[in-house]
Amino acid sequence: MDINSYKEIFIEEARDNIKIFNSALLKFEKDITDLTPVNDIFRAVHTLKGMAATMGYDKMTEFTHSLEDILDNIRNGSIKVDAEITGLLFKGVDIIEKFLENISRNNIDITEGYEELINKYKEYTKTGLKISAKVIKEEQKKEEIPDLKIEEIILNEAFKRNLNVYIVKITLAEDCVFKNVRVFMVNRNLGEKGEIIKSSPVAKDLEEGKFGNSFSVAYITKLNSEEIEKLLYKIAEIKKVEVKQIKKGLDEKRKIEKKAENIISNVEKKKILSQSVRVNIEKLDVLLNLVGELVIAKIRLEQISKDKQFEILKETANEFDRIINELQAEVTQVRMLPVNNIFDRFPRIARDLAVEEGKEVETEIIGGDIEIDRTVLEEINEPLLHLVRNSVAHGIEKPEERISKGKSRKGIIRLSAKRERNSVIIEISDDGKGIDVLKVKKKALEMKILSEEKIKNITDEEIVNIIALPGFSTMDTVDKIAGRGVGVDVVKTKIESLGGIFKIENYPGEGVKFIMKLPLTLAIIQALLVKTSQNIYALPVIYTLEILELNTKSIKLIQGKRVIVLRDEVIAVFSLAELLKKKREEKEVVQLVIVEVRDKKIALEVDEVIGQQEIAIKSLGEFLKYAKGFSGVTILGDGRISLILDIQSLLEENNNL
Amino acid sequence: MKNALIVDDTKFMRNMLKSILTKKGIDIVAEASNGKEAVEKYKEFKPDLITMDIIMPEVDGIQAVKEIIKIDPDAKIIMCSAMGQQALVIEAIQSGAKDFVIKPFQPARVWEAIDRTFQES
Repeated sequence: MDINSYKEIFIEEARDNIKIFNSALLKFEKDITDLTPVNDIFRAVHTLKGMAATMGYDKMTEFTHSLEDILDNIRNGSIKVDAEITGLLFKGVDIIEKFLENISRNNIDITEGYEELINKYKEYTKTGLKISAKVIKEEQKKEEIPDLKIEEIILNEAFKRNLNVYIVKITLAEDCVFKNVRVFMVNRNLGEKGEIIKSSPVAKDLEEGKFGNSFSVAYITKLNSEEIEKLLYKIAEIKKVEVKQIKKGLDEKRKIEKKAENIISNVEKKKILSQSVRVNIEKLDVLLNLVGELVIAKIRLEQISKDKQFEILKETANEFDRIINELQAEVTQVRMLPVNNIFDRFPRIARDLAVEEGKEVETEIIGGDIEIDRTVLEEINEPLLHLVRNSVAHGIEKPEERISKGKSRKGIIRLSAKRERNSVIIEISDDGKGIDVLKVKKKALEMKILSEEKIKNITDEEIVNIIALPGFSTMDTVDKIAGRGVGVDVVKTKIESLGGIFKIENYPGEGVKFIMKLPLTLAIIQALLVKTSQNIYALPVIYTLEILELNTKSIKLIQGKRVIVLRDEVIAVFSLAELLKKKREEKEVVQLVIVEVRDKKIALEVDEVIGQQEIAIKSLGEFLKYAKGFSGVTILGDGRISLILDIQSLLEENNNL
Repeated sequence: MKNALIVDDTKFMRNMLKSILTKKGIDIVAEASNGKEAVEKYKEFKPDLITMDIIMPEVDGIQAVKEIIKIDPDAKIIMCSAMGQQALVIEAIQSGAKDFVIKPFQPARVWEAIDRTFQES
């Protein structure tokens, strides 16, 4: 049987369920007296089990099954929950994740340590079972089928009309996949011969398949018990049907239930499903690429219609422009994912690390629903992870230390995302001890990054940026958490390579804030086209602040360097031609683009500023991908190729930063 | 001996069902690769059982169920559904299909569905 064609969707849906598991577990850990999250976990594990079984992954099925057992015991209160139990559950999530990894990567259904964990679960469920068996026995004595509390008025009415009232408990096959469809069929079969007046769990949960393996309904009909059983056994995957009749005498003793809200009408409520399909992400990549090509063609058309002064062509070009802009916006939108896709994992990671370090940490997420291009999101996952780990390991203090400083026991790590025009700003901050400026200075001296004289004059704001220099670490010993020699510099390089901006704000004693400004999408950006040495270059607008036209006399020389004074600020002037190792032409009037690079303003001298335009980014390809100074290439309206400038690496290349 | 009509747009799935049904001692009288063909073949052969795929070109399985049920309200149709198509399965059952099985097929499940469907009569 071609099971592989289902693998992709299996993995995707399994991941969704792992996410549910993780976040519910974190909730549960915070307050173990509230068992609501356990139900969510149980459902997720149950779904995972069902899917794994269908796919024929026996080991994963076995594991999820044992996990389900322990969860069931937690749910019914026969296992007392402590830190060890939650720890075991956390391990369980990890094992499932590993199973999935092995299945998706190597197509093998096995994971190290899963049997060990099953045995640990069994220790609990065994002792747990004893207790729960007792509980169940006692319950069974009282009543085998849950009491659905039927209103007296309804009962009396039924008896008056000589109808029978039953509580029917239906148990589905354990690996039943479409439970809600089975519920629907039960409704259909029973509905033909009577009326279902109530159910447990409530109708909405049944319709969504949110229940274990069994559910009960209160049923009014002329049929006898045997006929009901027969009616239900016609449906496949129904394992067991238990029917209990409610007799007249007994019911008079019953309490009158006044709430009518749980009564379900026999009319099948058609579930409204949102119309959506899952699409292979590669297809979206192709689609976006095509839109990129279309944008280039559009720019060419615009150029031609401008040159030719042909009215009808101009109109068509405008129409074309509008449609493509819309198309581009839509396709970009489709590729967007909420940042929660990666944020979701961080509370768990922060928690695990904090436990290891003997610290207490709470992770807050703000703006998790802000959307960003999927590629950007994938790329920033690792850097963000690194920063979160950094905050826990180096920022947040131990509980005792925090208390002595008058802070709360628990450290807070805040992840936030917000949209700002064509960028998304992501901030990671903590309320820990902040960056030790003295230590950084000392280390910078030791590593000979800065001279003694320079260190004297450096501001605290500037010193903070040193921690983002390659190889810099204030940790004396390399620890496995964050000080592995790869540090903030890697994060910074990554963010910048995405065309983003990375900043650090330090509040000594109060915490650190890492700020990342990222483009919404990597494929199509706004760029400023500039001309230098007969070539046209594209400069991403995200870096640019303003454009100036100055008489060359306004450029002063300070210590042999060309500068301008703009609103009392001294700004260094660099000639783009010179940066590109070409000859600079002396002119009377110069055009300057003020760009912001690493918090510094720089004036870039160009021959001519052509204007702002959207460009579709194409990669430089295998051979040129390490070329410094350029982040890509684009095709202009007239068919010419234009290099996209990466100002930061260009300045670095010339030792000017 | 009971006989059946298999409706699915892929030969792969039809073959798989054929082997599952044959093992159960069911004779395959006809095959159809879309809903339109299914209705035609149903009229021609009046099979005891129909296995019906849902997503098919031209006329889909649900439409075919509706048309077959119009001809014979007692027709025994079992839907073949993929994961995640609950809503469509419910629609098919509302239209008169008797039961469903899920791809990838587990023979035991298919046989169970057939047994219980025939029980109904």
